[in-house]
Amino acid sequence: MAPGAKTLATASLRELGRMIRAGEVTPTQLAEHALERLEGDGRRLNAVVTLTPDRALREARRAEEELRAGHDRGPLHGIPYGAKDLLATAGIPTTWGAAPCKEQVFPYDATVIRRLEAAGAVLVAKLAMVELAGGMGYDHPNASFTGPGLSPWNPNAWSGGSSSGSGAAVGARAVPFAIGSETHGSILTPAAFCGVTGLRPTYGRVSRSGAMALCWTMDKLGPMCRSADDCGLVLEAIAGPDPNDPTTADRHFRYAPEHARTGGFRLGVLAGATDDAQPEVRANFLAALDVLRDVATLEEVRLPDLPYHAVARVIIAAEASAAFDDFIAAGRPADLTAEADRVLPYTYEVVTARDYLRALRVRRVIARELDALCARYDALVAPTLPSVAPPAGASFLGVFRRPGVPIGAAGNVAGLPAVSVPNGFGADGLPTAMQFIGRAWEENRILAVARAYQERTDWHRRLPPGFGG
Amino acid sequence: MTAEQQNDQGLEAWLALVIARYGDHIPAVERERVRESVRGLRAAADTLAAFPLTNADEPDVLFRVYRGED
Repeated sequence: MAPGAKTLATASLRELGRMIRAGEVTPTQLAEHALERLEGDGRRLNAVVTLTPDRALREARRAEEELRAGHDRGPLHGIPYGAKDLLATAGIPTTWGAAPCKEQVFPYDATVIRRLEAAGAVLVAKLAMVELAGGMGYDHPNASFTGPGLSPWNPNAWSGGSSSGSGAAVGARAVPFAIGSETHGSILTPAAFCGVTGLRPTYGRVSRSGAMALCWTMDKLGPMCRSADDCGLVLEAIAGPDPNDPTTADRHFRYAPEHARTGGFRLGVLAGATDDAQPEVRANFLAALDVLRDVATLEEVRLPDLPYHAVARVIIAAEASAAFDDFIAAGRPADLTAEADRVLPYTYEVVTARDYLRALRVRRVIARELDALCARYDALVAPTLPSVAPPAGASFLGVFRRPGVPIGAAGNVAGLPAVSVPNGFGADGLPTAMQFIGRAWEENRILAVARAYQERTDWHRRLPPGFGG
Repeated sequence: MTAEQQNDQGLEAWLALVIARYGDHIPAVERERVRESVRGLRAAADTLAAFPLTNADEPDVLFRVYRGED
């Protein structure tokens, strides 16, 4: 008898892999279950653009045959997943979340999709996203032709973006993992708002070949999962150099939890990180620090006072306007869904070449200073966001304009890895989260800290009401 | 002229550039939203202009010399 829906909703990647190999469930059953959940709950949450049943069942059957024949591709073999709809998939629409691109089809797979296929994972869906990954200046959750992404914890709340469907589908337990992308918060935000674990890898760790370009020097792809351990398993499958993406570093990533420390960590707690946070965010963060004291020494640190937001804003505006030059010049923003996205791309015109180059020069100073800070710790730690998810039907600018500590901008500008983990609940039953930020290329280290936290808590195992099977 | 007046004039000049180039795509009702975006982008650029750098501070840009097959 196949495992129940609740078992499938809560199982880790390692548990699902064990069930497959023990004959308790087949990859085809897992794929069919995911497709069914996505067709129902996924669509209700506006998390799905395109289901891919033909490809999914083909890949699932192949996984079954291979495993039967003793050809084991590893921990993702036979596991279903969803991909943010900015990753090219041969013959399947890749819409970039944007109405003007609804009919767009590429003849090839993105490198990440190819690597997951090589790892035996089963693609079940292209997941919803904010149009053009939010690069046109959106300020409202409705900025997608599939509708505003909704949080599985409260359908009146936003899922976060721009990897909205990836966050909601994993949060609703419809898929064990998904791939998202982050230029400036697009993995960590939906991870926090949907109560999942999201990993933003170091810039250059994962190839972006075949992914929509928004900002060449800040775009990253990464996993959104049920746990930090799952994130490590997925990252190992997708990371590594790629001749088709010259920004990938010549570094191979091996996820090695068996060799990682389980305690004795040194953490830098960002001063002022909760000053502008909602009371529940603050309380949950302080409680989480108490848990971490079991495995770490904590020291308050100050983020260097540098113009992180200004650098991010200028670089994203300059690169996005260049990446979408023809699109903007042709007036195609008029066909986007969000009102702001229809006009704000034109304002990027006021960023000059000198502004852009100056931002790149300041970024180098930022990178040096943050590296010096991060080198003293296994991770910096801060709330992922100062607020729970805002309402799905209103502007979200209030959440992101809280002064706070600009660790999101800092980490993205410098290309540093970070992992967001759920750490409790706040207003309206919505999840809160905290993030561990590491030195470049230290994903194993921040994942070790996150695992130690998740071994002592069960926030990441909680199920949204009605989504547990 | 005060610094504030100079800033306002500068903002209007940047806004005029955007309108001259893309005014056909920007409805009148959206002008204030556009003005705020221009103001924010120029403020970010001004912040960076005020950040101290030396001649030795290079930008991080990716360029690799290219040589095709012989």
